[in-house]
Amino acid sequence: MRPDSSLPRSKPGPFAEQAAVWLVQLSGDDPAACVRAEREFAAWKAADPRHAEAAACLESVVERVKAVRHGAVGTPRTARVALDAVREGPGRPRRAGRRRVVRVLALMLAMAVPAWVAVADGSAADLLADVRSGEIDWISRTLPDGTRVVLSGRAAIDLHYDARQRTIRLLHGDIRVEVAKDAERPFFVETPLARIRALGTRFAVSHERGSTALEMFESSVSVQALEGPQAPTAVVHAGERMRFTAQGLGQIGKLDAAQVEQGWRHKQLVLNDRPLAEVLAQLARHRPGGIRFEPGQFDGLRVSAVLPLDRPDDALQLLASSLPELRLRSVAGRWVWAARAPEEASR
Amino acid sequence: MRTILSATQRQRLEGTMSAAGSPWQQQMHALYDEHHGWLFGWLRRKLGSSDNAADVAQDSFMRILASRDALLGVREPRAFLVKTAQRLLIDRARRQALETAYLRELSLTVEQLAGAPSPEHILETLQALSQIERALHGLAVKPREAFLLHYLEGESHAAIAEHLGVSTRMVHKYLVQALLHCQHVA
Repeated sequence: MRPDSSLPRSKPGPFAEQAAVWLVQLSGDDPAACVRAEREFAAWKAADPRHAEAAACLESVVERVKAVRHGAVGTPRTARVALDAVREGPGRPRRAGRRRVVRVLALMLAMAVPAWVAVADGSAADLLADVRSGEIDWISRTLPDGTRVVLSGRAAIDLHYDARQRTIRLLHGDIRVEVAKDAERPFFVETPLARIRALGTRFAVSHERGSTALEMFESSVSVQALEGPQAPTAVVHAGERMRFTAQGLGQIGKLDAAQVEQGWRHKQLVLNDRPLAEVLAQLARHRPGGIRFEPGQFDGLRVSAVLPLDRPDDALQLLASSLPELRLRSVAGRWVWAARAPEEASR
Repeated sequence: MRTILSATQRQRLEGTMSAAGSPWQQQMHALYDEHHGWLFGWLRRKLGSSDNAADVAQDSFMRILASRDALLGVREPRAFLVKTAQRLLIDRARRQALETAYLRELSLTVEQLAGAPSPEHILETLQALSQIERALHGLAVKPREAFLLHYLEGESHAAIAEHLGVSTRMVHKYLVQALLHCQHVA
């Protein structure tokens, strides 16, 4: 048995160790010994304010853990499973230091691209954005040039206007833009994956981790992929949709422009033969608490529907009632898991 | 290209700094101007995603701002930035793993729970768990096991001794060790 293979942090104070020994004796198995220890511990604390301070610090640690035992949602077992899930793997490194860091980093990188669509994490970039909308808001703004923009689904934008150009930078979420004509200054919507250039037109852009979608309602825009092998460009016309990923431009698809735009007005999601995973991702942006699922399992499932985006839970129920393959599970009405039902159950 | 902050973002970031022209502020400016783009590029290669990279680069500067870490002594600002960003990523990943594991476990047992738990209560529990997780981080397996069995699951010293195959004296030692380890994060 090695004395201590833990990471050395700041050195405990001289009295911390004594206080810890007392605390452990207090919670022993022999009730009589505990009572005795309690009396002596009290005297020890009273003897010196530094004793009392060291004791209080450790007691607060114990209290915090006991509070979880008695007050947590679920059983202590639930808490335990969660804590164990985070611990570094069972083959713990004996040599601390660099190896440990590398291992944790590898673990972290594996998790950096989550298979689950989780909740918004309120990053700093987000808090600093010029205009934001929550999951259930539809926010309309008229910009200085007369351009109108509607934000929904946890959208965040930054505005960069100057004498030569107008740019909306979409950090994430859904926006619909009605661009005011200005022959002098081109208008851009920019996401990490795409730059969309318009003179005067109406269109919608969505962006969420690794995917940007463009839906054209009127006229056309020229687009440029910002990631992928060579930044290719294309022109997208009214009634067309296009998706951008880290691989660059996607295929141009068809769109019922009038219906989809109508959907924006009525806070509806108008879907015509869209992959279920994509639909869930979009609904997740409109749902506080998000929707958790692994996208791959829904391969091959497609949806045509009109869903109420301002009532995402109803939208999910609608989806589930028409898709026997979709199984939903929820905790506390806030967290929702979507999974594919086993084959026999979906018949 | 996309690493540059908007004017308003920039102002707000700067608004959080005090005392115009202090050496600390100048350091922060210089650090930001010279290395933000580089850090973004580094993170982007590491994470394979511009979105995450932009967030993490931004948060790294926010963390340095918030902690007021001594910048004056920093000889290698890029190494310092990378360290900050790495720490941030690891914290995030751990929090996310904890949340995912807890909610998944809860979703499996939720039918057996008395009454419907409220989201606020669940978030509170998650926060407490996250603190405990941070406190236990780096502690050896057996002291950690003894600590959690005793304080979280309410097991007696004797039961823990049997479970771990050690004497109760050893259990005492483990518990003392765990308490001392935890207190620095308390």
